[in-house]
Amino acid sequence: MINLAKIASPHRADQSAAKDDCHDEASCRKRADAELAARILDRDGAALAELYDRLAGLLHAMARQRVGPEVADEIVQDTFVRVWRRIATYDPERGRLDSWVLRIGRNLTFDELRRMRSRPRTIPGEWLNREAEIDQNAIDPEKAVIGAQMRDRVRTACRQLPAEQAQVIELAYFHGMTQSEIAANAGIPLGTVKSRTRAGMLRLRDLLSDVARY
Amino acid sequence: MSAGDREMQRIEELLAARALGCIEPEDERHLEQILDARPEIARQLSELEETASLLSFTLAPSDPNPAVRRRVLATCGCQVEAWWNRLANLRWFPALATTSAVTASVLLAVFTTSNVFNSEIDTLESQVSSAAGSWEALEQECSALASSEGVGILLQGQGPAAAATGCLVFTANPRQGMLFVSGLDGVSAQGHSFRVWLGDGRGESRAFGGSCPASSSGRAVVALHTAAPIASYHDLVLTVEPATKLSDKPLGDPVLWADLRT
Repeated sequence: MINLAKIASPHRADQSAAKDDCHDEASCRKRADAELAARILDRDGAALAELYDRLAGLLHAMARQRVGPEVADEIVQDTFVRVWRRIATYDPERGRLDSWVLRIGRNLTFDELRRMRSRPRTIPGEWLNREAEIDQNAIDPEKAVIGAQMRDRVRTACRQLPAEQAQVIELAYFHGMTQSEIAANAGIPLGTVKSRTRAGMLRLRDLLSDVARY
Repeated sequence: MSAGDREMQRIEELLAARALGCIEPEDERHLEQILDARPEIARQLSELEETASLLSFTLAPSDPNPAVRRRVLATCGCQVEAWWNRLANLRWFPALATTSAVTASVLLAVFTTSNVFNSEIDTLESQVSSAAGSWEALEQECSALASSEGVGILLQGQGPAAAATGCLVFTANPRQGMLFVSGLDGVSAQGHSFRVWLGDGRGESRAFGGSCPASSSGRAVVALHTAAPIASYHDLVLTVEPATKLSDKPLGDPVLWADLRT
């Protein structure tokens, strides 16, 4: 098969050699993100495939909860097409590449949800109660383990939140509700929703500061 | 609590809601005003957005249909394959064959030999050079097409790359093209990329068109993919930028410029 991307994206040795320059995990991760994004910008199909293999499962899980498996497939596809077209707008200084991609997927999911005018299928509270599991079908077992470790790390942080803060965060992030809808759903004043959202997010930010890139 | 603390708390409420995507429309407008007036707040928003994105990691992955991966790569990575598949249908290709059968056959051989596409650009160049005479011969063919068929555009370097020359060839797909440039030796640098930007003539903003690593040979081959038809743009520039520094606008001064209206 002819692959023009191979022509337009050579000389990777220069970039991989520079990988040794990073000093700590955060800077190495930032550099790795920047390099992968640069490869995608250079129209390297293998780089897009690498990103797909890393995140498609998470994106699909996130979308499937809301819109079902078939539409979730479409959202995964649309997300990566959008990544391919808009990679130039990704700024490694502002956050992880994974976060940027997941944000695109989440926005597409809730755009679709609004089009479908449907409400969440899962019951609030299910989020953290579901057992974490290593994907047995993952192609790369090492990546599956790393993914599971990350999942445990974020879940542990979330479980440290007071239940009422976790609830508003779950309804907002996983169920796509506005704060007014959360207030109506939970039967609490809008002001309380806002203060709980703030307190929960600031606490999570602090708990996950070693995982995120601030 | 002071008035300043209360104000900060209020802003944090808006930021948290925005990061989670649950902000009310009225609050959203208020936050935009704050962000316009106080750019330092954007960093806090960025931190909270990053935090919110991590929530996705709490989910156990599920497998999309395997066909999705194929469709994504067909739509994106393999668009370039489709680009070459259209090569046979290009208006300029028959002309190429008649004006230089030798070069045409070499090009065809090079572009359809799969192992060539797994090699570096230098390998491609050397094969073209050895079989067709030189890289310059390839450029000359491109230039001839540009002048005779009107489906290619010649480019001239400027500033530190004044000696550079290039040729942009359009394909049957109006949103795809191929740019060949040589003479960029003076501006090539390790760890940098050549990036193509297209302007619509209505201001400073430019759309990203394509990119390739800055080769020590001073030559660039950039596959262009644009949102609008290439011919609808006003002009094109080539910049040299750090490979890992991404932006939605040019970061360097143009070293090559072309008027696309001609």
